[in-house]
Amino acid sequence: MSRELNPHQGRIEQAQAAVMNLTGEIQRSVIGQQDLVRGVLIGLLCQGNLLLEGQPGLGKTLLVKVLAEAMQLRFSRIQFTPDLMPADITGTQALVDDGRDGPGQLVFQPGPIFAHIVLADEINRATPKTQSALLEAMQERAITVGGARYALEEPFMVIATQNPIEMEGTYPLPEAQLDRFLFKLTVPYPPLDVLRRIGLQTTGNKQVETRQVMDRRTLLSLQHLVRELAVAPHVADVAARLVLATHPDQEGSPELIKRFVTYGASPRAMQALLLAGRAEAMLSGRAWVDEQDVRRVAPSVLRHRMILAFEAELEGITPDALVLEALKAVPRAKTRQE
Amino acid sequence: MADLTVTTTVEAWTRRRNQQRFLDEGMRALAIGLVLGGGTVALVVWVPSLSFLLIPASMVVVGLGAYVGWRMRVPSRPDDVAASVDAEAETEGLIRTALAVEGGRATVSPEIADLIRGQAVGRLTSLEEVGAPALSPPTGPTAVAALAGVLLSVVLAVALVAATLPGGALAPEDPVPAFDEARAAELAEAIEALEELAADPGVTELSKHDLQLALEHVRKAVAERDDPQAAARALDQAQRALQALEGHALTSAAALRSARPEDLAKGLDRALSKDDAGTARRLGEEVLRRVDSDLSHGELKQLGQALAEHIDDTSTAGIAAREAGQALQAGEKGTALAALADLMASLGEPVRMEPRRDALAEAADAVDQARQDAVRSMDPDRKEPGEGGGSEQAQMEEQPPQKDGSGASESPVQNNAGTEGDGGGGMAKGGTEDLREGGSPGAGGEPDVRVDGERPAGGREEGPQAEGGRTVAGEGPAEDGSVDPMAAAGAGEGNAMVDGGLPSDELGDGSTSMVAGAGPHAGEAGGRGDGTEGVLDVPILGLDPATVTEEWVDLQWDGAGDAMGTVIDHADAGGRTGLAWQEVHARYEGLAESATRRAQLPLTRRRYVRRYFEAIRPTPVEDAEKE
Repeated sequence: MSRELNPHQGRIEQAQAAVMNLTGEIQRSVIGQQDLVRGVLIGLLCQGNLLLEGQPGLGKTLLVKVLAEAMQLRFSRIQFTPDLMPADITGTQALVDDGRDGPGQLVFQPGPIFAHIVLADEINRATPKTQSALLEAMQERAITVGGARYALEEPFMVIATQNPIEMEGTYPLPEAQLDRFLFKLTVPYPPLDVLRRIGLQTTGNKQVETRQVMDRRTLLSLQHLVRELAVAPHVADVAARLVLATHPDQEGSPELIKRFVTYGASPRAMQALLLAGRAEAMLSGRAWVDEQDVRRVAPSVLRHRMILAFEAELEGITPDALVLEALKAVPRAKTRQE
Repeated sequence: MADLTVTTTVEAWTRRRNQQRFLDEGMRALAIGLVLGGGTVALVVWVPSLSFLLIPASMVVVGLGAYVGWRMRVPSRPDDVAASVDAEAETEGLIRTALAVEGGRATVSPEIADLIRGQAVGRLTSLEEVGAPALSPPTGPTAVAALAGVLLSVVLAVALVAATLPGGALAPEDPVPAFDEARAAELAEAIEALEELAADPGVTELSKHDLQLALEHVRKAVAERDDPQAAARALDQAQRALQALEGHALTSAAALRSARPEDLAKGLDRALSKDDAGTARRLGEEVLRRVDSDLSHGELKQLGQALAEHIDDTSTAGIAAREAGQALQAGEKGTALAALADLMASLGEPVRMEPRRDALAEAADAVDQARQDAVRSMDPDRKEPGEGGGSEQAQMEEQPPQKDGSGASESPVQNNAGTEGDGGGGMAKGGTEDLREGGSPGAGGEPDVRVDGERPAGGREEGPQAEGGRTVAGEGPAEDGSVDPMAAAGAGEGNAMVDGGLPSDELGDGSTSMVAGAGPHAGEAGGRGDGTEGVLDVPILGLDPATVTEEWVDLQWDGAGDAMGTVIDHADAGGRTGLAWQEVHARYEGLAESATRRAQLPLTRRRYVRRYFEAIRPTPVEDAEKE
C-alpha cells in the first residue's frame, strides 16, 4: 500500500529539509558543536532568546554571525563592557539640523538592537542597568525611547554570550532577565578531532563564505508552523510535572532539589518546554510533540531557571545535575510496556 | 481510509493484537503447562510419595492462566489503549496525540489535525501489513504476578513437604475417608439386608425399631464417610443397635399374626422374588393359617385382595399365591386352600422360624469392620490399628471448656463386685483420663457423684484395673486444674484398688469414669463434664446378656451438666462388661488424636500424647491375659 502524501506533511518535511539545509550551511563554518547548532536553531524557530555560556574562542560569535548570513538577516553585535550605556543598545534621540531655521529636530537614531539577530557578547560584563535595557526588547519585541515606542522587526532574537571563568568585574544577570532566555546553552570544548579540523580548516587562505539558504519569509513561516504542531495532554502533563519537580517545596520533588534549590522554574519554563518541544518535533519531521521531545530540551530550558542555594556551590552541584534529577523524578507517561 | 477515525482504527488494531497475543501467550502457557503438568504427573506416577507436587504444579498452571489473562488484557481507557499502541508500535506518541486531537483535547489547526489523523491511521495500517512485533518478556505487574505465583507455589510446596515429614505436621492434615470403597459397598449390602429384614412382617416391633435405628446410623455413616469421627460415631450407634437385636428374638409368631394382609402379601412377594424360600414359607404358612381359621368373609376377602394385588405371578409359587387370593376374593375358600397347598409344596421343606440371623451377623460384621476402619482413619499414621470405636469423640468435641474443678475424674458407680476405689476413675490404665487430660488440658470438673453413697472425691483415680489384686500405679489428674498436658498425662494411671481381688478392670467403673469424669475439659477440645451436656454412650461389647445386665443411669453430681453411669448387675458374681482394653485403647487413642489435631497444640505436645498412647498400647500378652 502506498502512503498518501498529505500536503501538510509536505510542509513539515519541507520545513525539516530547510532547517537541515541551514544546519548544513552553518556547519560548513562552525566545525563540530552539533548540539549547540541544533539548540540555536530551535531557539530561532521558537523566536526565543538564547544565552550561550562557554569559554572564549569556542565559536559563539561565529555561530551567530554565520546564522544571520545564511538567512540574510540583519545582524548586530554588541560588545558588552562596564561602561556601555543603555542608549548604546537601544539608540538615542539626536538633534538633527533639518536645514531650516530653528534648533533642529530630535530624531531617533536606532541602536544596534534594531536588527534581526542581536549578539550581546559577554553580556555579564555590562552593568545591570545596561543589561536591563535588553529586557523590553527580549520580551516584547519593542523598545521605548523618549516616550516613543519602537517595534522591532521580526524575526528578532537576542543571543547573549557570557564567559563563566572571568568573574572579576562581571555582573551576573538578574533572575528576571535570565528567565527571558528560552535556552541557556553551554558551549562545550571541542574534542581532539574537531580541534584538529578547526586548525586545519581555518588557517589557510581559503575562507568559507556563507551562502544564503533561507530567507526571512521562510523563517517566519517556519516559526509560525512550529506553533501549529500538536501537543497532546499527556505531553503537557509531563512538561508541567518537570517544572514542578524543580521546586523544592513541591511534594515528590527529588531530595537533591529540596536540598540545593532555593527557587524553582517559573511558568515561563512551561511555555519554553512546550514551544521548544514543538520545534524539536519539527526538526524530527513530526507534526506532533512526543514526550521525549520535551525531555530532550528540558536541560536547556531549566538549567538557568533554578536559583541554587549556596550549599549547591559548596557541594559543587551543577544545575544540569539537578535537572537530571527532575527528569528522573517524573515518570514516563503510562504505557503498556510494563 | 478517509472515513476511518483514529478511535475505531485503534480499537480494531488493539482487538486484533489481543487476539494474536492470546494465541501467542496461550500457546506458550499451554506448552509450559503441558511440560510442567505432564512432568509432574509422570513423576508422581513414578514416585507416588511425591503426589504433593500436584498441588504446586496446579498452582503454576493457574498462574500461567492468570498470566495469559493479564497479557491479553484490553486497556479500558482510550488513552491507555493509545499509549499501549504507541509503545508497541514505536510511534512516538502519534496515536495518543491523534486520539487527543480527535477528542478535542489538543488544539491544532484543521490541517495539522488531518495530517496527524492520516498518519495515525496509515501507521496502524502499515503495522498491520508488517505484522505484529515480537512480544516482550513480562515486566512490571506481569512479572510481579508471575513471581508471586512462583513464590506461592514454592511456599506451598515447602509447607506440604514439611507436613509430610515425620512429626512435622505444620499444617492441618487432610481428613482421611472413614473407609474405602469396598467397605462402603459392604455397608451398602448391609443396608439392603437390614432393609429387607425390617420389611419382614414377622419381625417384632422391638426388633424393627432396632433395625430402623441401625439402618439410620449405617446410612448416616455412609453419608459422612469423609468425616471419620462422625462415621465412627454413627457406626458405633449402629453396632449397638445390632447388638441389641441379638438380645431378643428377631421375629415372632405374634408379630406375624398381627401383620396386616398387605404387609403379609408384600413380604411374601418380596421373599418369592428373592428366592428366600424360608421367609416365603413362613409367610405362606401364616396365610394358610389365616385362611384355615375362622376369619370372617370380609377379612378373607381383604386377604385375597392383598394377595391378588401384590403377588407377582411370574413364578409357580407366585401363580399359586395369586390364585389363592383370587379364590378368596371369590369366596371359594376350598380353592384357596388348595392353591395355598400348592404354594407351600413349591417352597420345599420347612425351615426354622428364626430366619436371617446369618444376614444380620453379616451386616453386623460389615458395620464392625467399617467402624474399625473409621477409627483407624482418625489416625492414619498408626501402625497397629486398634479396635473399638470412638463414638464419644464428637460429643466431647462440642463441649465448651469446663469452668472449674480439679480435673479429677470421679464417678462413683455401683459396683456390686466390691470394687473399692476412691473416685471412680477406673477406666483402667488411665486411658480415659489421659485422653481427657492430654487432649485438652484445663480444668476438669469434679463431679463428686455419689450413686451408691460412697465415693470420696479427690484427685486420686482409683480404678478397677486389677489383676489379682495388683495395684496399678498412678496419680489422678491434677487437682489444681493444671493446664499442663505433661501433668495431665499422669491423670489416667488409675490407682486401682480392688477389694477382693476381683479382676474387675472391665467393670463398670471404667466406663463410668469416662462418663462422669469430667472428660476433656479444655479449651479447644472441649469435652465432657463441661456443664452443658453429658450423655456419653459407651458401647458395651461382648456382654453376655445371660449373666450380666447393665443399665445406664443419670448420675447426680455437683458440677453442671449431665452425667451418666452404668449400673452392672451380677458384677459380684463375676459379671463383666465387654470393654476389652484393646478396644478402649484404640477408641481413646483415636479420640486423643482427633482432639490434638483440632486443638492448636504445640507439636511437641501433640507428639507427647501420641507417645503416651504408644506406651500404653496393649501387648498381645496383656490381651491374652485379659481374655
